[in-house]
Amino acid sequence: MWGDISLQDPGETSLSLADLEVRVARRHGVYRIHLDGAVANQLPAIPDGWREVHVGADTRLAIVPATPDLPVVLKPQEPIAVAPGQSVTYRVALPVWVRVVTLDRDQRRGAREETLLDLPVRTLKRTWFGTAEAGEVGYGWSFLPRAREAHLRHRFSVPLTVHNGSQSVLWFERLLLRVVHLDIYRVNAALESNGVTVSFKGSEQLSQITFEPASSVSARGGELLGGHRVSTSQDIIKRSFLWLRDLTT
Amino acid sequence: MAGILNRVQTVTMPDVPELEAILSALAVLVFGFVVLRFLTRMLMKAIGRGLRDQSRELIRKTILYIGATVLFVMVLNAAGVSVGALLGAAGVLGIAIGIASQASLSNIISGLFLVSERFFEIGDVVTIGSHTGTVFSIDLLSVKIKTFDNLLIRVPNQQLIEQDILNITRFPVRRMDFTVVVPDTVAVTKLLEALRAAGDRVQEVLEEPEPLVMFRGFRENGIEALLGIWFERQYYVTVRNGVATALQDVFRERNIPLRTHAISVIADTPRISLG
Repeated sequence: MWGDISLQDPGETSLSLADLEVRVARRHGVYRIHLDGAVANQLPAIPDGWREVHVGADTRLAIVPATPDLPVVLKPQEPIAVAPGQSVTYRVALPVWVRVVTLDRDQRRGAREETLLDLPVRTLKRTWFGTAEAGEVGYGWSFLPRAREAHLRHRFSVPLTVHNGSQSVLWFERLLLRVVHLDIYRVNAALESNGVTVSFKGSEQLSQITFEPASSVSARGGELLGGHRVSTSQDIIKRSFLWLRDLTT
Repeated sequence: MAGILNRVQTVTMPDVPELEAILSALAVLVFGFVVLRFLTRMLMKAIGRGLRDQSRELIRKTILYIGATVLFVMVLNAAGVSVGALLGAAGVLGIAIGIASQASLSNIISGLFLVSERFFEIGDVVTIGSHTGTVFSIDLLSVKIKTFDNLLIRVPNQQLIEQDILNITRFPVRRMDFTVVVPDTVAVTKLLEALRAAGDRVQEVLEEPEPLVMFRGFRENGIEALLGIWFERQYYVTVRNGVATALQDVFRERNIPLRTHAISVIADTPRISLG
């Protein structure tokens, strides 16, 4: 499903995931892309629904999975409290984004990759992480902490570890997950990102966020399908937790 | 013939000392101009980092004007003009200009207060008096506002100090309120649920802060309720249109009639309807 689109001329292929259907056709050397579904309905209408893509003769297209284009504000449906010094790990399943990209002459994804299409498989509601004066926008996503979600083709899972490094109990109400820094891999036929560890240092302090290195995911059999949107080092320090009182004051 | 040539030379060529003075004045002007530009750039690099656009522009202009004044005096001095006498005359002239330009001075001082107050910045959307638009520039004497229909309005700083200014885009998120009135036969809970559903249908309406849904009271023409949704400031038009459409759709789907300001006069025969 993911990867290089090897199309004859003429030829057509399609990908249907949740609320998005992407059809890619090739005729007389020109690629054409057609979108359908609830996500496509929110885009500006095109008379016959086809978009033309002119690329070089040596250039080919690929369909790759991507993370959401904004951070995701995770809200557990059940309250979670983490005692000082303790850690907890969840697997959070998030909707995947679909990207149509160009491949360079060597048929490898890399620096010369251009994105032609970048859409979610379902529409996500925007939400605000912060106070009315300052904060960050993201997509809202609630999850059941211990739910064993069925393997869904249109979702990727994020191994998320929350570590309470403070002296007080951490009431985990909202967590800003910076998915734009994550890669997407195929692990055992399912989509999975590299792991994230968020270390809580205290309510007045920023949290330390550590991303699992690519080598570690490869070691457990991960095959890279979609690269991260925004580069970062393996360690960043950002505000990650928010309480209801922050939103109401 | 030689006499005529001598006379022409006397008329057209200045004396050697005069020529020297003019050349040295020119040299001071060119050299001073280059140094002034260089110094301004260096100073702006050193102190302008981290400053807002308007503060940086104000400092740059101040350095430039002071530097230009000093350079002007140096050029006159090099040209052999008596600067002392000129400064004396300039003092008298300055007093005269000062009296004549009280309004301008007042504007300059008001401008300094405005900049230090930091109530708005270049690019903010503000309402000043009856004008709403984007702050185009903040200058020594006035603030220029670019309206949404692409007109430029100049508001003197002194006027700005004295009146209310509304900064619409100061904060990244803001609330928009929609008031609806429905017949009093509609259950309040049903009305409030419909309002929540309408807000939820628009992607740009933020999940958090949560929309404010509130019963406001029984009115003459029915029940009044409020839907206050939060959105990012750049989606003002999208949200305004989207929520209005969603309200109509949801209320229609749930068979809740929306009261408008239309007046209906119904007579037995014939029927007359005014809308």
